[in-house]
Amino acid sequence: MKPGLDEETLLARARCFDRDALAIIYDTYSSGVYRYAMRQLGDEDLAEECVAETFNRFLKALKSGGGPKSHLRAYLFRVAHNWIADSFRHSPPPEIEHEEPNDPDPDAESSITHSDPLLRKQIRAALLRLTEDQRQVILLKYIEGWSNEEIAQSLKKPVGAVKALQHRALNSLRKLLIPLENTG
Amino acid sequence: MTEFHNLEERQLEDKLAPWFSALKRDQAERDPEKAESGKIAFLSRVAELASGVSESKPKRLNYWIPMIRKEPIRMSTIATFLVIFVMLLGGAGTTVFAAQTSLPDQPLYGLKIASEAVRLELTTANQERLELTLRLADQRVIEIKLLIEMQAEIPPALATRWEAHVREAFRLVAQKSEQEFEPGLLLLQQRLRNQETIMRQLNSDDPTVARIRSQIQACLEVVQSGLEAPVEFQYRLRNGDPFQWGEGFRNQNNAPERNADQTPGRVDDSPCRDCESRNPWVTVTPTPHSSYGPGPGECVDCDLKYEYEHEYEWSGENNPWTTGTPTPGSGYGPGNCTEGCEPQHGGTSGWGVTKTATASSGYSGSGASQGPGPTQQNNAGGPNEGGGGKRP
Repeated sequence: MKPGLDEETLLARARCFDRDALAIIYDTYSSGVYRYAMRQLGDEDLAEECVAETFNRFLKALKSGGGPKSHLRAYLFRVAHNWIADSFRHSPPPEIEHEEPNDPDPDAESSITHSDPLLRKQIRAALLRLTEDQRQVILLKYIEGWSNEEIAQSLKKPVGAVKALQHRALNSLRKLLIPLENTG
Repeated sequence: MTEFHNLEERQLEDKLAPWFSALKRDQAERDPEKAESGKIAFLSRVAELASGVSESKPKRLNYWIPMIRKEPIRMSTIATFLVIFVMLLGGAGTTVFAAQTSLPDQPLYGLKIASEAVRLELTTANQERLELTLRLADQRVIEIKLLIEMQAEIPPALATRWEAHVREAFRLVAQKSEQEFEPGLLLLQQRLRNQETIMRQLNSDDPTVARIRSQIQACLEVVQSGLEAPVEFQYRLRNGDPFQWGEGFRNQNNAPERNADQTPGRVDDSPCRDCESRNPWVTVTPTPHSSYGPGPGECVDCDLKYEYEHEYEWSGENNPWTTGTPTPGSGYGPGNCTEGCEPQHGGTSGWGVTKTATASSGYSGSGASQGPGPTQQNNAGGPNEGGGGKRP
């Protein structure tokens, strides 16, 4: 965001469909939304589609007199999250892949011997087995690095509710992923 | 408990950290071209939506609420009713005012007639009502004149309305007191003469015009006869409709027009020229129980009584008013006279000798018929013909 332009001013100009203000908003937040979508979807085209649809919904909300009055980033990530959830809603979650036991590296220091692509597949599959709110809390907290307060803004829930969601989500992931570690 | 939870959570985070780290390391860079095309698409969408930016839907739908609620609702309600009331009254008043100049072939004429009827109903004083009635009759004549000037057809209902106004004027004049009766007749005569002047100036052979002309003449003659014998005329007017008097008055279209130089008054074609034969006292079927007519039962010596009355003319001791036992204190009967009891005025009847007879009243004893009333001929009918049951 350009210096001297606070979020409220930017949003006020955006409601009047000020082209420059909306261009600034896109430049500021589109990359983050893309990354967020890409980490969940693992597909560049789907991630681009998610970005385009997120900002299109934002414009429609402004046109109908709605849209955010503050916390624009939380608003955009919530829209993106909903779009991703909708895209997965009609298809069953994929199976969580196990590592094939072929030539384990005896020199590996880490207890995790799985490759990053496999781990990503596993965590994505496990995340899809969580509830939407739990998944969003895990992604925003541990991947995007948001504070509990920011997550609470995005979910429109109290901070205590966010912590409870976080706790239940970690327990669920533990049950889904730790057995994989032992099998590996 | 919270510390235990935090500890457990940290242990979980540590255990899941490899998966989180793997996902975090997925820093796939966005394709710059796709990012640029995405931005262009977004800005074009911005331009598309910006062309029709308007107020939000709730604002557009509710913008009128503050306009209504600027003032307290109670004041607004009163003001609304006031405005509606004034508009209704003002509108109706304007329409009625505009209708006053309308003619029978115009849409507002019905409203004009209705407003006249209302005015007439609201006017109760005799003199004011008479003047208003005569003004309305004038108005009908003026309407006829305007229609002729416009070469429009004259509806026969116009003559009927004029006739109703004049009939009402006669009725109102008849209700006046003895002192006011003659001025009322003179007023009626003056207005009828004005109407006659207007009608005479019209160059039209319309049957409605001819009908009104003849009716005006007949009315003028009736009024003139009334001026000659007002008391009798008022009595007769109170008990009859002048428009029903005589064939000449009814067949208005056939009635000859009076010459301009002819003196108004009793002429040969007067509706009352043969009043004796049309006197309601002798020609009309008497109303039952009205004391007129033969009365119930069989009259034994009616002929004798008739001859008595006819021959002796209520004279002397044959007068039934004086031969019977008089009511004490009634003023009838022989009284206390002992000497010089001859009648002082030469008459023999208790009716004819005490008062001077009114001119043309039929009581003068001359025998000549000078108008309607109980004359000698009237009495000739006797009880069997309805004329002898009661004396005025």
